[in-house]
Amino acid sequence: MVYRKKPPSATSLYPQMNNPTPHMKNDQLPSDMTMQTVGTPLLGSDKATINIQSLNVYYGDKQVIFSVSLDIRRNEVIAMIGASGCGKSTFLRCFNRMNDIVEDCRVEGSILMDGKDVNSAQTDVVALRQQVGMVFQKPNPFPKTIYDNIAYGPRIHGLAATKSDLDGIVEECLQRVGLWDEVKDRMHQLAPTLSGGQQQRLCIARTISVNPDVILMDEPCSALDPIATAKVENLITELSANYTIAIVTHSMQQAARISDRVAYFYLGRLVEVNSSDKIFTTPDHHLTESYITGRFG
Amino acid sequence: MDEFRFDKHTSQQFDSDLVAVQNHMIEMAGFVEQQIKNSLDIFIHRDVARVVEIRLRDKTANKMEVDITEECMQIVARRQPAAVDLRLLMSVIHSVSDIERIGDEARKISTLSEGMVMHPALTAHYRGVKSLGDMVLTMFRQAIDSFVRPDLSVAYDVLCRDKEVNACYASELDRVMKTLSKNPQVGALNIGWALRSLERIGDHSTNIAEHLIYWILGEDVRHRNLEYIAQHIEDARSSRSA
Repeated sequence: MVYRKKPPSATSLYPQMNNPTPHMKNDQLPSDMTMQTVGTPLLGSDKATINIQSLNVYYGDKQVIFSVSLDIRRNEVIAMIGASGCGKSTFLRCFNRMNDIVEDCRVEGSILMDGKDVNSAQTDVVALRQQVGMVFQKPNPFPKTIYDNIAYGPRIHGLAATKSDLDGIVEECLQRVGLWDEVKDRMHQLAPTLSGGQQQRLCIARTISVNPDVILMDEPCSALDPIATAKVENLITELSANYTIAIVTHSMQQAARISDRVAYFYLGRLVEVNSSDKIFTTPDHHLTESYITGRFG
Repeated sequence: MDEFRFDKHTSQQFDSDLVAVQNHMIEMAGFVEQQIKNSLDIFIHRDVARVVEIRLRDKTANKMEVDITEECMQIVARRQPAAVDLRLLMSVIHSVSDIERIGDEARKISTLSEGMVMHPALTAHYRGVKSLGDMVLTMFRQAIDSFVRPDLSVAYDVLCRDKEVNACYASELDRVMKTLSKNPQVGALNIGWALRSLERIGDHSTNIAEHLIYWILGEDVRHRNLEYIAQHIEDARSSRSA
């Protein structure tokens, strides 16, 4: 054999990586450290349905989101990725002011939803949460019947004038999440008796029953098996025709499969936003590359 | 944030898998390089008794290609690589295919020697084959070296050398055509085919260098001209050092 030299490690193509600095922890990071987000975080006001400008979030004295600016376009699926504790869920929860219920949480900067400031004192939070629905990590159906889980939102928001209108909404929502055929004969059964995957799709149906514009999903498949996950992912792709979807996920493969763009967070900073095609093949920032290739995080 | 540098994967086994697949590719390249040398030797000295040995070794090279491709498939299936790791595996899969074809060309050259036993008088043409053979061997060696280091400059040098190889091939082929026009004979024809095989080895070496550039820069430079590639390498270097 002629070539017997041991090849370099895959990362030696970055010579500066050969002397890695030990990973910095949150509390070691200088508080004034800022970084420019690379890629395409901003799209221009004419293309964005959600416009986030210089968002800072604090829990008491501790800052957890650092000057994040991001545009999200209508009917886009955008995935937030990053290691645990990097602030992606906190960031997501700012969209419908879920952080209001967290003690000592303070939000600075602006989030414009179709031009209206979410954080304004005049904003009706109930109406905002109708406009921006949320699906959580663990399926959380109400301890009510399948029918009542879907009918609850339309009832309190006055979206159905008659019983038959309400029946129509319930059926349509269940059809859209692919659950109708599975539950149509047991609509008055308690929702928690459904399987985990069915419960999560029921929660998505409940979310869309009040005609939101935006759906936030915080690791919606982390408690589901692969088949249920595939169904939910398929549903997300279908729903993107009508809704803007922002999803937090720890599964890189899931982000690659379902999202149009990916936003990578690191210690509260938005490092890179790019199309999924780009970020999983040729990311612009070395931190993104390190994270998605499993070199840290 | 530039002071944050991360070297190895969290999973050390993933690192080992990637190093192993590169080692196997380099091992295969060494094996095929020896095939080229042996084939040239057989052709120039019309040592037809060794043709069988080349054919047998070619089967080994084919198996190496299948094994390395399977190894890459396993890594893709088990690790779902992304970015630089995914590009590395894609480059290896494409490169081993090129290396296997180089092995095929080497086998063809040795087989052509069987028709040369009766033509020892074509000495000048043998010198041409030897000269072109040395050029493509250097190219191939450099292409693999660019993977081992890895080094964009070496890869770019391989791309530049392809023009020299093509010029040498055209010149030698012209001489063969002149011989053929004066005295049509199988020997001269076989020399033309051997030259053709060597030129193809140069092309495959170029492909390997292009795969290396794709691995490092994430830019597919196939079918691009040299000026574009040089500029792209320069731009990438500038942005990395910035």
